Amino acid sequence: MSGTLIVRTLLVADAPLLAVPVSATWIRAGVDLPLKTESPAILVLGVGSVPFNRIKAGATQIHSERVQVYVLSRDYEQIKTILRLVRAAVLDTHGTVAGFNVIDITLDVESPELRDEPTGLMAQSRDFIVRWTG
Amino acid sequence: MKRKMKPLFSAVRKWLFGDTLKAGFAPVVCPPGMQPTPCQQQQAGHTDAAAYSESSYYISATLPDSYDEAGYESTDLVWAEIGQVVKFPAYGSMQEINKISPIKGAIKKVKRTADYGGGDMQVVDLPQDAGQIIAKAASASSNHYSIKVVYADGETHYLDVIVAGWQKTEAASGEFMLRTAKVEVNKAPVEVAAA
Repeated sequence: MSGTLIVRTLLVADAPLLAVPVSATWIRAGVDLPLKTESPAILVLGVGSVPFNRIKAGATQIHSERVQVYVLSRDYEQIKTILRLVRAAVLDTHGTVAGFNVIDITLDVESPELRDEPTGLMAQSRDFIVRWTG
Repeated sequence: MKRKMKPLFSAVRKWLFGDTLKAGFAPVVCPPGMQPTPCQQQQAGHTDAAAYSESSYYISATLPDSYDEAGYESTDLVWAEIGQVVKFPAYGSMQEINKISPIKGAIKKVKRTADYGGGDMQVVDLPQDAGQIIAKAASASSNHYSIKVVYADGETHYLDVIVAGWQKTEAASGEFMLRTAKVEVNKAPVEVAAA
């Protein structure tokens, strides 16, 4: 789903986010987290997409796609900082990103704070609604 | 008796159905009192369920010399496609009923004159779209305009319309920017079967 690509492209180009530091290598699109992934890591996941149907579809489609940005870290404060920087990097985006025309990106739900005791990892996610044509 | 009636039935059937028994058309049964030509014209269309998907909408500032297929298909009418139509209003004949209730006997009903429909046409707001530019001009004018609807199977309907309004939809977070035009149909649609 292209909303995923759009959000990841914005995140890996965001200097304040990379300065946390979050390595661009650990900003991944999709559900795979390879072995030896270093935290903090960010997963960009497509949750679902709804087309905006016109009577005649035309060459380009209009999509409203829910994209989840899932942040993993061993530091609680770091998760909060990263989520705030993700929000700033992604919102107020219009125009061409990764070859797609972004109409707008709006905020949606924030997930509960999660903790995995054996690994000591904490996680939290934020959903965005990405409206794009392509 | 049967032998005498057979040629008469053939003649009547030929008068009623005409060319619509060509391959690809369903036999047309015209309502009593309705002239064959408009009856066949209206019924010589799709013969199975159809949908509105992939229909195209066009507008022209020019009116036809005659409100029939020949008039609308004249090259004098230059059509501009209206881009990204989301919704188009219902059109076609609708008549209200006047009723009078006598003290004795059944309620009497008469039909009022036909209203050929209309309502909101909604489009994705595209200020540079040629068809939308004409629709916007139509809303500022008291002139009639011509609209052509081409359905996915090629069936084409022509409408004589006035356009009242060219309004942006309500703004809200996450909503698409759309325009709503009030399109009202003034005459019976001219319906042309797919070629």
